[in-house]
Amino acid sequence: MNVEQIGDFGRARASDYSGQVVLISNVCDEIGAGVARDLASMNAIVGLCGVDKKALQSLFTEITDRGGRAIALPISTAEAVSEVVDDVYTRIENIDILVNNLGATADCGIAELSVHDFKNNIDSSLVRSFAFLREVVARMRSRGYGRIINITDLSYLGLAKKGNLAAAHAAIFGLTRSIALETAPAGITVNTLVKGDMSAADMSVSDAEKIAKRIPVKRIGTVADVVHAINFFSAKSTAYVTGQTLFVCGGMSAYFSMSV
Amino acid sequence: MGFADRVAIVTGSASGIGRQTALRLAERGAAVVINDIDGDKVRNTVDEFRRNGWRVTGVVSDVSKKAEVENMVKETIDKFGQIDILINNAGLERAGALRKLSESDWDLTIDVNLKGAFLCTQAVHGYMVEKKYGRIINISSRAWLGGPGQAPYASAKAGLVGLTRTLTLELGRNGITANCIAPGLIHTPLWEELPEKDKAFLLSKVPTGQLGKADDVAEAVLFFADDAAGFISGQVLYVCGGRSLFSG
Repeated sequence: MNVEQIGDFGRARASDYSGQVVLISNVCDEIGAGVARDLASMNAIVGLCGVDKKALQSLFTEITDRGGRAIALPISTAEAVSEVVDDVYTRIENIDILVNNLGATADCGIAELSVHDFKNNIDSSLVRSFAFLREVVARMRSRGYGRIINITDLSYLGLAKKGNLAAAHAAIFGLTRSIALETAPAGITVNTLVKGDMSAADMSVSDAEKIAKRIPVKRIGTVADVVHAINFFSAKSTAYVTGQTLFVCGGMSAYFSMSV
Repeated sequence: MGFADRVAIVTGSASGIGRQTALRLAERGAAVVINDIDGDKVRNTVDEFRRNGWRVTGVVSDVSKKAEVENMVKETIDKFGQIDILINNAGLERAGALRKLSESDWDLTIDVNLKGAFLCTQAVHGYMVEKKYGRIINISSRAWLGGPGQAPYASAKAGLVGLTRTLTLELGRNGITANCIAPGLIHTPLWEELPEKDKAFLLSKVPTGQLGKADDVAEAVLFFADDAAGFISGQVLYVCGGRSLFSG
């Protein structure tokens, strides 16, 4: 799969999500939008959540114009998650797959990181992820089926100037394992996908080349790379895979302990 | 997401997880080498697969013997001209209390599970480097985390994790990925021989409460073997119903 193929609504695909509903907690970045396009192209109904109303509306229009089915769900606080999830259940009566994609932040060393900013970051990534999990898991449990993927990144293993994100994402790692143990008997799988260095629209070619040099496979990641792993964890056929941490990082995790 | 242009060697593929993996690859278009030390089982599997019109060939060889591995690779190249995917699946277990294990128990377990994967990888990687493409998947086990009576097996399967991470760092620049799958309790002929109370005890340790199927593992193999998995390397994916999270 290459980038151009993501969300190719006309292409025959190996998977089909007809009748399934996917809720994505943040589609206002390239990964979240890419996952939404991909799953919608395979006939899933996608619930698009995000803070940026303009980006949300633009993605909603794009998907529906191409024949996909989507719901736009603007959301600004963790407290609003309950309302949004209620809304989805009222309108569609179901959520089969939850993709939690929360946690972007700027680099910041501990001396510059205020307690206030640290708390804000924990709120916008960890607490909001938890809020989605809490609302969705209960309903999935009553149906006896669910697929949950929490997206984090390599910083959870500890990277300089990433303390705020490391703390939030390390917590999501533990949260994933706890919920996986709690929900395994109910047919729900919960897994963590750990992103490595990803390409971004605002990344220069020279920066991308510099980063790629230190990655074992000698390239940076793309939305398509993440989408491939999301598809694996989202499939009905992966019922026996739960509580796991999969790095989509071009082999960078092999430089770290705590990555197996 | 087919494998029509791909050639795969699956070691230990005349039965169990290996056979199911070979089947899934073959039905999606890959040319597959069926390998085992049991000639009859290899022939039966090849015959059955060919009846479906799949591209397969059989090679009887012991993966712990360098000359036999080199012969398997030569036969693969002679027949299909390339090797894109290597599944190091051949394995066995000699279990027992530490004081009861013999030197030969240790040697055999390490030789087949670990040395076999090393020899096969060493023999095929040149062809992958040449094409700047390769997918190496090592079938480890959740047991690499350690368990009573499993000294040789856990050590061999842990060795595969180190081998996988090393291959990632050493071969990544050549478009080659290396990943590990760590299955938990999977339905095999050996499972059927267990007393019911043992089955119930083992299943009580699996969070999903279910016994895994060979196809659950095959599904994970296909995921890593896919062209689209080029940015996923050095991983250990447990297919164990959550048992890796806590097995106490």
